[in-house]
Parts: sequence; C-alpha cells; structure tokens
Amino acid sequence: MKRLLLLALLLSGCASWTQTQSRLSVEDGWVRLMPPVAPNSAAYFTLNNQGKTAVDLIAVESDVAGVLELHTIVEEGELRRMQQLQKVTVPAQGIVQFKPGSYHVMLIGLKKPLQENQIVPFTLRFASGESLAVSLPVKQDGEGKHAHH
Amino acid sequence: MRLLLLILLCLPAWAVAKELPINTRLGGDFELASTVPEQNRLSAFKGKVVLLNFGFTMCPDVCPMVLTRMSKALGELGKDRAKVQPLFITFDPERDTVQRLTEYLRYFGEDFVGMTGTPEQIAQVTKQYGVVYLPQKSDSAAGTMFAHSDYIYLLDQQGRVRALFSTRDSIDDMVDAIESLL
Repeated sequence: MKRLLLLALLLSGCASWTQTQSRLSVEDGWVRLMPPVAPNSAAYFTLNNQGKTAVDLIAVESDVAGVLELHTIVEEGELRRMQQLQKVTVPAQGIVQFKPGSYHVMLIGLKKPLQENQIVPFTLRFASGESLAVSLPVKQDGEGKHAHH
Repeated sequence: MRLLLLILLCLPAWAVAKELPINTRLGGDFELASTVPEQNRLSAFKGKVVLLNFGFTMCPDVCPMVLTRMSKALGELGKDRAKVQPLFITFDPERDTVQRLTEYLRYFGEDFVGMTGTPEQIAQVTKQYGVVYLPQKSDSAAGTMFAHSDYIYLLDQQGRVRALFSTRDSIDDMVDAIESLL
C-alpha cells in the first residue's frame, strides 16, 4: 500500500512536472560554429513562455564548455559592450529571442572544438525551479542572407 | 530653359549614378605583423578593393557575426571575389598572435589576411580608422573582453575609405557598394 502511495505520489509529481515543462519551449536554436582555435562560442534560441506568469531564466548548463553565462550586447553609441546577466525574464505568454548582437548564452572554454551539425544538449534552469532540456545544432550561421542582427 | 532640360536628360547614366564619396577623415596606410608576411601593410593590396574589420578572436558573438557577414558578401561576388581582399586587424595583440589569427581566419575564408602588432601600433591604426575598443574587466569567466565598434570598412583600389558598413546594412547593400568600385 505504501509502495502504491509512493508510486502515486511520484506519478503526480511527474504529471505536474511535465505540465510546467509544456508551458516553456525553445525554437530556432543553434550554436555558433567557431574556428577550432577559438575557445568561446555562443548559443541562440527563441524562448517561448505560454504560461500565465513570467519566468526568469537563471542558468544554462552543458557539458561542452567549462562555464556558460547569460549575456547581452548593449549598444552605447558606436560601441557594442557585452554585459553578463544574472537572469533573463520571459514575460507571460511572451517570447525572448536570443540572437547575434543581442541576448546569447556564452560558452566559455569549449572542452573541444564544436563540429558542424553536432547536436549539443543544454539544460535551461529557471528561478521557479523548473528546467527545460533542449538540444541545439551547431551551425556556421543561423541567419539568412538578409538577416539583420 | 528647354536647352537645360535637354542637357539634363542627355546626361549619361554614370553621371547620375550613386558614387561612393571618399572619406578623407579616416584611413591611411599602416604596417603590421601579418599572417601573410609579404602582405604586411595596406599598400600591399594596392589595386584591390579591401574589406577591413577590427575585432578579437575571444569574442563569441559580435566579431564572428561581422566576419561571417564579410564572408557572405564576398561569396556573392562570384568571379570578382579575387578583386576584393578581406583583412582583419585585432585590437587584442596580447592574445591574438599571427599564428592564432592564421588558424582563426582560415575558417572564414582562405583569402582572409590577419594583422596584429604592438599595442602602440594597434592604437595608431585604430586611431586612423576611428575604431573604438575599451578593455572591460568583469566577473565573467571569459576574462577581459572589449567593448568596441564593429564597422566593416570598404577601401578602394587606392586604399581610400569609401564606405562603412554597420550590422544594420544588408548583405545586398554591401555587395552593391563593393561592385560599384569594381
């Protein structure tokens, strides 16, 4: 009986877990292919929050690099300055686009050079305790010919 | 009056076509350590159009994005590509050696030439071209990064600055400007 109860608890736990998972999704993600000599890279994606409350992305994890950090690019006149962020807020029923020249996940200290079309697993962690596992392909360029930053 | 109108109408197309102005405020020759030893100064590329950009290899986002844009524009030129020389100058000479630049730039194109030098040389050439770069110390694990401007400079066959491209310019606009010099 106890076991059954435990199982039921676990299952309900799973159910709520999958429920919170389904409100968050990632689209159009890619990781920048860099020359093998370059130690750093960046990951980009559109983070979609279908939930009724805002969520804060606080960390991204992956085994391919020593450290992953959230960054954005701040424009100050003609200067572009990279700024580390402690969180990125995705509004309720809204999106945040991580893209070149803007929000990005910086991969610092790649353990080995990324290969084109390699699939890199990431775990996105949110302040609420939720997490989202995503796999993103390594590409030379995620933008079209006419794309702007 | 009618005569004036007639003259205007008869002007050849080239006279009214958009011609890129010569930027006399920026530019000039320089000599630096190069990934191609015999091409160690701007004047070594005389007779070729040059696409010039400044950056650093530790940069994960803006610099590779801009170099990729350069690569794409060159890719649109077809057989004229050989008439255009891509050139990259680092403002991080402490980390960006000739060897490192060689390996880094090969990825963007076999014809990319990279240059580095002493901090004083780099300060001089960036001043000539109005490039701004500020080292930034931060808590980031990435160590020293730079806040910097990111223009691509279009130089004509005499090494004169004819246009600056920002990341807001489309690849097509870049290609049109390059082709107007060929």
